[in-house]
Amino acid sequence: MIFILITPSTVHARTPSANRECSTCHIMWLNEFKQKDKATLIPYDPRPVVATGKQDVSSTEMMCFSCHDGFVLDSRFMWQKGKYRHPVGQKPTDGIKIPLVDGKQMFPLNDEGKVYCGTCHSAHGVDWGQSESAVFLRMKNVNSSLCMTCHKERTGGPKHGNHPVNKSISHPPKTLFKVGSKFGSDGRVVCETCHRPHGANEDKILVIKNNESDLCRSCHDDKKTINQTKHNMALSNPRATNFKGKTASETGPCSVCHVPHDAKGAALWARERIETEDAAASPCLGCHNEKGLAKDKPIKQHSHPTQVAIKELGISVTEGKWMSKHSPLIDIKQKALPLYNQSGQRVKHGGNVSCGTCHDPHVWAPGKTALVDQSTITDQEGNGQNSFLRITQGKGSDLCINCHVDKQSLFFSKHNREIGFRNKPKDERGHDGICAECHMAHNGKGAFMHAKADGEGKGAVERVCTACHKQGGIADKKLTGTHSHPIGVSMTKLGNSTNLPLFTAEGKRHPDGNVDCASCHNVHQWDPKNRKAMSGAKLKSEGNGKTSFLRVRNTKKSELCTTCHQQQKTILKTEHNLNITHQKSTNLLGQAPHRSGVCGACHSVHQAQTSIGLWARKPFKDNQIKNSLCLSCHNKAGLASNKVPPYFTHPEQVLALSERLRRFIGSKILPYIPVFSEQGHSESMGEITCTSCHDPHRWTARSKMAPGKNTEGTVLTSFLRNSSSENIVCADCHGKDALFRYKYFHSKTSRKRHPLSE
Amino acid sequence: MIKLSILLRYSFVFFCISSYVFAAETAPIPIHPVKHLFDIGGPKKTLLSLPSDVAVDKHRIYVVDSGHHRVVVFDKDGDQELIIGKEGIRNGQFRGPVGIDVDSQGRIYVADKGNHRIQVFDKKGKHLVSIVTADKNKSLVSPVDVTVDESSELIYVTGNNNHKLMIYNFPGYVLEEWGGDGVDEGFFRYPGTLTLLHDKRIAVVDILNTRVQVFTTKGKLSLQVGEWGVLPGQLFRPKGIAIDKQGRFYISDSYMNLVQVFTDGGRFQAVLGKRDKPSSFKTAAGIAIDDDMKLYVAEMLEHKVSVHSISEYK
Repeated sequence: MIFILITPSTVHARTPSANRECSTCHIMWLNEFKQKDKATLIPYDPRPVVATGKQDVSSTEMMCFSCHDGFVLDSRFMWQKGKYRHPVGQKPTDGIKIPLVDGKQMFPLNDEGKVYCGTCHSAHGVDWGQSESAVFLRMKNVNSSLCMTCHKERTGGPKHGNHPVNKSISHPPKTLFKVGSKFGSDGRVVCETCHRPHGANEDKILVIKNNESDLCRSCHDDKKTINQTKHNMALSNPRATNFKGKTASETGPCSVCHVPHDAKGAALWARERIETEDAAASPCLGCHNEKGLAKDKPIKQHSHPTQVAIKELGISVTEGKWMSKHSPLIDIKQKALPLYNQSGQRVKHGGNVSCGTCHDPHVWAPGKTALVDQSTITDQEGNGQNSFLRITQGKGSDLCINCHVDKQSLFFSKHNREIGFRNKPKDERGHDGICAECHMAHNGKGAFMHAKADGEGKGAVERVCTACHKQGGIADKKLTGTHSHPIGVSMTKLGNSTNLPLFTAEGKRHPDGNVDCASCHNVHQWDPKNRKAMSGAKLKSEGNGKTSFLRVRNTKKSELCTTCHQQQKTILKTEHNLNITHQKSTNLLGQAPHRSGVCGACHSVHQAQTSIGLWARKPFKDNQIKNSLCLSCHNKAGLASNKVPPYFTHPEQVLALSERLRRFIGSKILPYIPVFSEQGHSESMGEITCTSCHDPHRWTARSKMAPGKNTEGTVLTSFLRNSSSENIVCADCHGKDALFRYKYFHSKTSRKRHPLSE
Repeated sequence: MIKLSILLRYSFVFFCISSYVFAAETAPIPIHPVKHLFDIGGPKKTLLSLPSDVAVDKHRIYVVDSGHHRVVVFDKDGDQELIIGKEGIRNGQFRGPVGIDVDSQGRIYVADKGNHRIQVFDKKGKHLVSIVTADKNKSLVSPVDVTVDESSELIYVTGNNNHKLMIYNFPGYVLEEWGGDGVDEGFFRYPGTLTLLHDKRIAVVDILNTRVQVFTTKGKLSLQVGEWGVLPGQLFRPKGIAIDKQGRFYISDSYMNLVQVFTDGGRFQAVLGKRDKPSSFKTAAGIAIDDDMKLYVAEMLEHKVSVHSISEYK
């Protein structure tokens, strides 16, 4: 009986059995090891201590290799070349979070809590389907999903400081395939694109060596041009280190600025950043500041703005394609430049302008790969042909125009130096294209990134204009003169509004800003209605209400003036519209009304004869300036010679109270009858002048309507301010006689002492 | 009487116990002597990387240096003579080669597994011909090993992906396909290396069926050697096979790291070793024996071919 019990079983099946199939790997499950009378060829050791620690024999390297050696399955690549592989025999670092399933680790560790082959691999439990390659992983590794299950801290893309994964590239490089790199479906970049868990040749289980940034360049081949630029730290700052303390010579030209993991914000930045509202600019400013590595090229005040939405320039961006609402005047092919979101990531739809929009930090001169002798790189000074610009500026400032398409009209105007001041000496930047004549993209000398020293003026805008429009300046023939339209005027304070641009004292557009030169003028376009108008493209071309860089044509209806001076629009159908009454008359600039505009017939915005009224005609001689303006036409030799009042003056020594002051005293609703100083300023107490009773812009006080033709006035029209004489100022002195004197003001009889007053 | 009965009783117990002890004594593993001579290659992988198979003739040793995707030829002292090929797909280049054979003219036959072909080189390493390993349906076959019957002008090839023994003629046309995926006699689960016996029978290592099957030239199974297990005479991961002058089978096992010897009738004879212990041939794959009774073992993870003398084994 004892013999029966101890007789070993020596059955060796030829047909597959579960026991045998399991023991294909689980060798220690074989019955032979339990038989004391048989000497096995190898010792019984179910949990041997191997290089990775103590673990089940079925997941040792020896067991795996016994099939994966090319004779059964072929995983020789894992052993053949690479000396690096996914760490085994180590405890997971703190950043690794192994998920739990039913309370057990999804990826088990060995008896010593270390990673071993069996952590990722198992012959059990995964339905791979027919299309997948079964590698006995514990879960499918579709697009590196297995890797990311534990290495969550390496996922999330650039937002989380990591290289993008699951992003498709159109042409995965063949060089990477050759070294065992893998791409996911649709050419997606996955973990195994850069890393090989087995058979890697390089540290960090990289597929190829990267100390010269070869791995980076496998995909980012277009960036290799950085080597011959100042941005190659190995040349310009060999001692500079990234935040991991590595120099360019240690970690490669890419990795001294970028790291694929643990990066600091946008652009996978590996260096110091200066946090600004524009996250995309922060990496650049990290060096380009007054204390940074690029302290000789700091970005200071009056530099091109960033975080400007491209749509503000009339450009819509969809799927990376640009569409401008402004058609180019000269045949240029608009190039889609990089745009960024608030987080500093490049976007394909819309987006904001940032440093990277104009600059490619990896290419010194666009279109040129071999640039300069390396020994001179660090000393080379840039210009519009290089300077890491994405588009060379050329004569036509192509880079600027690529976005500012609407500014191309400047080419056809005197503001184009080639037309307006080609005989003047060029400064050193005059060779960088048309725009560079007035603008410097970085560190301008004033508002609008002005490239010239500011002139004089109240606001920043005016100071930019007077840089040239001044005595001795480039545009000294186009001065505003002593009497010019006021600037620095607040529309809000005037109780008025406009859709013309207003500016702060610093030159920024602001709806509550003040009127400035650029409120009326668009310095980039000669004719507001015709961008390609050539009439201004001559040195001696003279402007008028249709042109003159005005924002709005200012001709028949004086559209520009009335944009702000809306109350004065009522002049249009009155006899004071010289287009109706005197079409051939000219102002002092020699312009007929159809060229000067309705307002321009009498008023001159610049180079006016008077400060009051900015008079554009020859004033009549009179002590009272207000009267002199009216009399310039209403005299016997004037345009309104048929409307010359025989008596028009009020005794100048008699001062009247303004309606405001009278209302203050009497608290009554009083008609508006302004009184003026001798110099023509509206005062609380002053002289009664023509414009005390007449509003030259309005035919009748009762309505805005006017006859639109020459017509005879009545007591209710005739440009009178008020349709009633009730409570008129005349009564203050003349009492009951006031009505008579008001009514017959221009008559000789009214000047006599009236019987009622006697 | 009482003492006698007690004595008899104890004698019976002693008999039973001694019988049990005798029965439970571990039978010694028969060892046949092997003497290590020298190694070609080593752990630095510079010379050889994952050598998978070895062939010999009178003057030279031919090694499939599979990690380097090439064949390296040495003289009998282990000095390098020739390197054939590199990684690639062109003629003369390899992708993951496994098995090798050499004929009496010194022509070298290599199973270029990744490129689905047998490549033939002359003794100077010049590429002669490539035979695309396809079955009769023109599906590509990944060859694991190749051996040549010069007299019949036949090339035998084991197919990794179709579990068959393929027979090609010299122009390279497939003549026969034997076996297929299965555990029954005549079928294979991953046929590995193969060798030609002195009587022209063909012996094929049937890896996952843990046996060697011997076929006549007509394709009839004539012998099975080895069986599943870890006892002497049993196999776990058989990989290499070689025949000595006496027709004995030498079968390497890449997990148990040893070489076992079977008679020409397939009966287990011994394990190669020293004194009373089996010698370790780590991850032993292809093996070869020359006329001088030298054994050549491709030890893959040791990245070497170890050379031994088995001449004491008569």
